[in-house]
Amino acid sequence: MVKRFNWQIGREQDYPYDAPPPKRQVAYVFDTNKCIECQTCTVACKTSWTSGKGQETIFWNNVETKPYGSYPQAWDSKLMDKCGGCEWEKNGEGDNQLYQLNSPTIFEKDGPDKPPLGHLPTERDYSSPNLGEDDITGMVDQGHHFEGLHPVWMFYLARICNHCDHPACLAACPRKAIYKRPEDGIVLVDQKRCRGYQECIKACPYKKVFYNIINRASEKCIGCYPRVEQGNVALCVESCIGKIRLHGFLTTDGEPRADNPLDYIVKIRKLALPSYPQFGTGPNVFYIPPVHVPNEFLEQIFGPNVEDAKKLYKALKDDRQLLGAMMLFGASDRILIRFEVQGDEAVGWDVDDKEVVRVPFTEPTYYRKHLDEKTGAYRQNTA
Amino acid sequence: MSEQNNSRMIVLFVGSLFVVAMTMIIVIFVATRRPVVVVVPDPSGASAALPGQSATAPGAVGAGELPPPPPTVAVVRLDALPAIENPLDPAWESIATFEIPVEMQKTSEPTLDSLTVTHINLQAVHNSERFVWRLSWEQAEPSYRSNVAEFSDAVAIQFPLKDGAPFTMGGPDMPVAMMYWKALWQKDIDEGFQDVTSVYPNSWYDFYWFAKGTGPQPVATAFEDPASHQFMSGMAAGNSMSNPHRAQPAQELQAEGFGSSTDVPDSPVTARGIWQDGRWYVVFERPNDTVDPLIKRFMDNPEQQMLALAVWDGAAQNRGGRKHITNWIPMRIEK
Repeated sequence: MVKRFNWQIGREQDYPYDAPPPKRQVAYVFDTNKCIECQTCTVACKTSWTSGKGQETIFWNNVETKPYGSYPQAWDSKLMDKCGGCEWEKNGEGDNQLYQLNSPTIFEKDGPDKPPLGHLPTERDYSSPNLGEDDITGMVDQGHHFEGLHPVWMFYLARICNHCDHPACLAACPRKAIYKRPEDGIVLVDQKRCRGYQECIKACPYKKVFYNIINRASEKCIGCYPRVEQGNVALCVESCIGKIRLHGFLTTDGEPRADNPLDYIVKIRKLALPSYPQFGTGPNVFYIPPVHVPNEFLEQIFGPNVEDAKKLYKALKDDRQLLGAMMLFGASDRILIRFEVQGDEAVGWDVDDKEVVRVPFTEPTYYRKHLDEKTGAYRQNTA
Repeated sequence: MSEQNNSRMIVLFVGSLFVVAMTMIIVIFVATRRPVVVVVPDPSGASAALPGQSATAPGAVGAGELPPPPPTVAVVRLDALPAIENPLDPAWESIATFEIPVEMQKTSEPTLDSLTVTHINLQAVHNSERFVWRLSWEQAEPSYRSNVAEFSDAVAIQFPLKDGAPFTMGGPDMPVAMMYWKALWQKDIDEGFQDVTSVYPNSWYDFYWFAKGTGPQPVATAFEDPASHQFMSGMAAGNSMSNPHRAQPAQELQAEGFGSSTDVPDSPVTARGIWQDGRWYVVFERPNDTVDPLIKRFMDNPEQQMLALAVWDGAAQNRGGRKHITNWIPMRIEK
């Protein structure tokens, strides 16, 4: 075991291997407030990567309803049960406010040199990917009405592999068949070396490594690496009709850059939060928490910064720089590594430093005449 | 003056701390040291002591009291060998059986936490053409489904390829060779490749891209077009786990330490296993071919060979390092 610093829990933690951080770390921001669980991302991923025999119940990307949905069943609550409660300690105030995790991560819970704490789902756990879908927390009784906070609630959680800073799947593999790419931090299973021991499936807190019953080996989200290598966003990101996703890179070789949309949203403004940071894997999908859901529930998923993130999100309309970064969601199929707010527009540059997108703060409004003189056709107002 | 006293006290205090810490480090080192035991059998062929067989695996059953030294496994020379096609060949009944206790693998994580197999019965014969080993062990129900959280029964024999190779799957520049049999592969051979419909008989899928014909499109016959392999990444990468056209239920592996086992393509090893009345019977066969480096080792020094065994209980979630093992056992090849 070595000690590695995990910025998400504000302290050093145990991990079996030491390695320099990747040149840059692939990362995503998902805005849960905008997700409608249409599963377009799920289908885009499924048709592109997991339509083979043996992959029938495998979804590298899935969207589940919280609190009752989960795929595989109870992936999250089972591990929380095993871990016990988590303890955060607040240090500093205002901009210097930092939380430190005082409870053990999954690498520390069972003691040094032990495999990460985990659980292995069974076939039943994969058999109902949409169990709990659209279920709300309680009955809507007569007289219920909205007073700023919904008395009953649910929200959609879109999930992919987190391409973690400290992957538990990699730590658990006794054959070292899982590796994290030095160029972009994408975590992959060596499809030739894997012998199907399923230790990675047991160890991954997010259950995003799967056993293929035909290939008899583990498979996982490949971060659409063939697209990333060409500077294109992942298919789940490009296909998102709600434009809830932003795909980019976190800076790893220095301070976060204010002109990098990922650095700016995640590290500088802390609008988006990791999921289950207390497990200690340093996940790289960051969620903007749903503003209508009680903090008690959200904090067990997204950690202690939920209230601050909600406040930021509610004040977005007056926060031009942050709003500018938010407007880049779904704006391009190119990965944006730099952005600027110029006048009334947010501008984005791709990995080749080419300007690829320019989004106005206010969409222009066009009034069209009743008669289209060019074609001689009358326009009907069918609304 | 008082300053001098203070610094002397500090020096004494730090010095004594250092001595105490060093003593503790040495004590802990000695107490937890696990010597790699390499046993060279007595050249006379008489039974060889196996010091530390259970002491090398703390927590194993019987740890603390040394088990009786295992006898040297004799590879009996016969003119006519039992048929490999039938692991239950009555000819085995007249061949010496060595009852070999197994223990939990506790050296490398992930380890085995409960002993569900107690011993393996081993028999070995050879003639001018072949070597044959038969292993049998108690297994109430066979396990051979390919699914998440399900694991296959398996067994393996390990031989050193260099003198001094540790029994723990060899070590750096100390390779070992293994013959590994797996119940799931035996089912593939006996009943055809274990497909989705073997695991889920009532399942249906409309079609798989570029596979021939209509559902259920068996992997063994409908996936000849290379385009149909584009979603089968293990198969496309040549992973030996993902082979739907397996010729043998076994494979040969080489390793230089835990986690390093790599399959040897075109191995001459053949095998067959049968489960009957609560026992697995598995036969391994290897041609007596001196080009084979392992056989050459046998021939160079037939009196002083070694083997080690491992067995996996699939129902108890055994796989990989979660296995039952033995230390090196002396093996003598009869003339």
